[in-house]
Amino acid sequence: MMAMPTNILAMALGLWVMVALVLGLLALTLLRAHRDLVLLIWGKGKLGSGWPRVWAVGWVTCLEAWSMRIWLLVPLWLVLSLILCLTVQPYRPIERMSLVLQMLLRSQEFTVLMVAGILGCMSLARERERRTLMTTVSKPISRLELLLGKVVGLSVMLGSLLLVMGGISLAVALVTDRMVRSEAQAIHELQRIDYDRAARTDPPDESLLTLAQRGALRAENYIVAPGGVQVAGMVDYTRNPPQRWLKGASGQKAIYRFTSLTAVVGIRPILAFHFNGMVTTPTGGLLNPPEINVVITLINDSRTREEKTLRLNEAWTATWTPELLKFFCINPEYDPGPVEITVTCPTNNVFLGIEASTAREAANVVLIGADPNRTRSKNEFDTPLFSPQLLGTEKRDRQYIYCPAEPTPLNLLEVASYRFSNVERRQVQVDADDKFTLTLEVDVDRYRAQSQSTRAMLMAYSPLWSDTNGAGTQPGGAAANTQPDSIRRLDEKNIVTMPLVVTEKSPLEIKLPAALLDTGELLVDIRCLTPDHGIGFDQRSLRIQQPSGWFIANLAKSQMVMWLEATLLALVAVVCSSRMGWAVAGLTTLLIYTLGSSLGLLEEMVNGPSFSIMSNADAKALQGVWWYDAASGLSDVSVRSVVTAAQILPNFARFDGMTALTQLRALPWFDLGTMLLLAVVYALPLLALGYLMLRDQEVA
Amino acid sequence: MSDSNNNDAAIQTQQLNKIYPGFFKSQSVWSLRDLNITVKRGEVFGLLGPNGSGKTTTIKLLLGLIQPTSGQASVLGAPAGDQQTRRQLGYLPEETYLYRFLNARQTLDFYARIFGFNRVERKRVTEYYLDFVGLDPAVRGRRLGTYSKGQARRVGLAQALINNPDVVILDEPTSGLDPLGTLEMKQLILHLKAQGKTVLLSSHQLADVEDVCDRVGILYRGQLEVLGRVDELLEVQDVFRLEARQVSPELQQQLHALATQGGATDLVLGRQRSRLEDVFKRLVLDKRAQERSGT
Repeated sequence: MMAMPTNILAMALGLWVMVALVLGLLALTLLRAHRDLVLLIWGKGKLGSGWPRVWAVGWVTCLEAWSMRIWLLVPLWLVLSLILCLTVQPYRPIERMSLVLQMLLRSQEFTVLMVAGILGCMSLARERERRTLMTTVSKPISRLELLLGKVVGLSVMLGSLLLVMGGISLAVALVTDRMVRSEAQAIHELQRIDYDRAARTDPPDESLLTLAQRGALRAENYIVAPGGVQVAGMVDYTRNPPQRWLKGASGQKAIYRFTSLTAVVGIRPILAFHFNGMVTTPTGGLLNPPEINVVITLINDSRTREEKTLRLNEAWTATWTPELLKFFCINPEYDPGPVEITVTCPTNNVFLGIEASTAREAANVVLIGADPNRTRSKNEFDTPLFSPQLLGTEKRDRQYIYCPAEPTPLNLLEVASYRFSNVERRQVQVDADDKFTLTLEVDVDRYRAQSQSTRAMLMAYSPLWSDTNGAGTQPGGAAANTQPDSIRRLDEKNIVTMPLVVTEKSPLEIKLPAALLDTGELLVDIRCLTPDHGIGFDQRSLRIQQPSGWFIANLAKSQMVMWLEATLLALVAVVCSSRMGWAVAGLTTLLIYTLGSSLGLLEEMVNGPSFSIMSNADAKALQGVWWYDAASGLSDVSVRSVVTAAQILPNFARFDGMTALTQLRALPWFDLGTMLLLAVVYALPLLALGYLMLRDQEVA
Repeated sequence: MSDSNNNDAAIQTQQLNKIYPGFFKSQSVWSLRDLNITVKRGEVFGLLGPNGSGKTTTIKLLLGLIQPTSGQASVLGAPAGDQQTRRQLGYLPEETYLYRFLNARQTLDFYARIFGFNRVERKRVTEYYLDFVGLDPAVRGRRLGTYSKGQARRVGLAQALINNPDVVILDEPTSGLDPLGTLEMKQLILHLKAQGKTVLLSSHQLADVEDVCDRVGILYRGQLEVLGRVDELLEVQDVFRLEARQVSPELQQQLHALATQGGATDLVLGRQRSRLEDVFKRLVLDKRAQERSGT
């Protein structure tokens, strides 16, 4: 029988219990509410359907909000936002629009959520206190209609508020756009004058001119490379896909992910490493054998890690039995979960060939003596789940490539690679010259020669290969020492090489022939050419532009997401107020919102190193002492209970419509649909709970 | 004491009990004990009793606002609280529990919406019932929070009647009203009776109940102590009354002598005294008539 990891079993069990509870709640509600539901939907006898009654309650709820002068919040919000917009100055003109939108939308969200929470808590609780509920429920209205009416009324009121605020936001954005255009034009003009007078080395930033012409009211659509950026020391273009090489004594690292490293009990588990090696010293040899640094980390528990430096033999292989593996071997019931193995090479003048394949014969890292239930090729092996990820020097969440100070051949320069797969012509915007646009937006590091422009070389190609006999010129001039018998060359018609001058955070638009997209796959390699300069990349640094969307539609989508979020919070508040006083209901709603929004933080607290207030040594010393064990057990149960509660509650952090908008990107309709679905999934059990609490409640 | 023998009943309760539970058992309050009453269609029935006797609890049970601990209550043949039956019910609470932020028109419009009236009907019934309860047109657009108690009470009454109900339940209808308002309320109840409506009212203003009710039930500590027709209950079998105008002192002496000869005891002869309430009403009505005629 296949052994299931304990945590997966526990998760599956928890999920089933939760689904069963929700379904049970809905079934119970259906059982108790069927008469009210019939009256609501179809009506009976002279009593028509319940929707006019729902709307009557909703209308009064709106009027109540109006009587509380809720509209005063709009000018207050506007004044506060404008003060913030005017006091916080952007670094570049393009950032002004993002900043303004961020100020307007964040404060709008805060205002609307606050209103939703407060009015939701007060709605039913105050009616009960003032006994107006008594008069209302003496009329032919069911509790279900009353509950729905409250939620509908609040939702309409919040929607109206968002509509007004959205309109004002649009007006402010239009004014800001005019400011940004003239500002960009003026800066570009100054840069041009400076450049003409030789007071500036970089040419004028052309993106400013584009900004002045097109404006900043954008809803950009683009495709990013799904695997993000890969940083290699060298690329072998004779392989399909091109093989990446990890450079020794650099910040580069290769990451291999295993689903688990559970080994078979009784068999000595071994991690075996094997690389294609290359030495670049003039003699082709090394004084000492090359080394690799290996770090094993449990993804679910980043505190648990083990590292070792291994010396590779002449065949560029090494083996290691980590203590962690021994532990899993002795304690097979403990499932380590997914595991990450990071490999770096500290030896200079050495390159390690990183295999993209995860087949046992080709993989760089293999677990020998693995759990037979996990292996795919042969019983005693386990291989990485995905192709390894190659990273460069990490800095501010970006991967950096550097150009060394000494002259270096092009093929030995660090390469940042992006791979766009399944991209078709119809997905991108192709102009009259049959070209599409690639946008490059990077960070720049200048260690020396700071006045110099940072130059880069971009090479874009689609993997169309032609087999030839004998060595041929490879793109970038690479010549690996391990030549296969038959050299496959990239079809030169499908290679575009382009020198670039890159500027910090200034989007550079690159036009490429659309023919590159014919294979459905596009690879782009970028190298830094200016000595002692570095270029920083993240996943969004290189993107294929798609037809842009309407800013107004994008703003409307963002408002819609906020409306869904506010309505859900109002529903939570109304459900709380169906039994509690407004103050307690308010605090409960706040707690639910806070817990639901801080799930990520809570999970990090539990799994991350920051959760423990004791050092590992102290904790180990106290292990076995009854009070310490009891206290840590109790603490563990409490924290995990809170995390479980947060997982069940609506996660308000997921309702994020403005991130895309503030980055001037188009919010996909799919995301909006997902959020709508999420809101409905949470709203149904909440409504059921509210109804059950209100149904038999005495109004006295 | 019970009353449970009528097929033509608009309201009926059987062994109705209500206990308000406390945190401890000793804190529980037995608000209603084995109540059996029947209110016939077209009848004005008065529930009397001191504060805390269970009058309002009975009404709330009939409206389905609270659930009985045991026993049954039915209104127009359906269990109490039935949503469809509430369509034929009108209810005036003991205090005016209405939305303070709405004006009179909006208030009636809201309740008319609940009864499913369309826009035209809503406008019509709103104005009709505001006129019917005599609310000054000048104040109809003002928020209820600014109304006097009497004005708010009129709006409360209008909302109770807006659906032209078959059964009207009035909890302390004259509470907070001036004597004139009380008179108008009593006239209104009689008007409803004339229209064939069933009225159940609770009050401790015994004079008001006496004037309008066909039958009354008196509750004490949740138990029905007395039930019967008002005239039967008020009739004093061994006391005789004679009323007349233009009685001279000589005629008075003759009547006194005649009664004494006939063996009558505790004889009282003298001028009829008005009640202060009657004097007040006469005064205010005269003033109003003068204001209207502009003199």
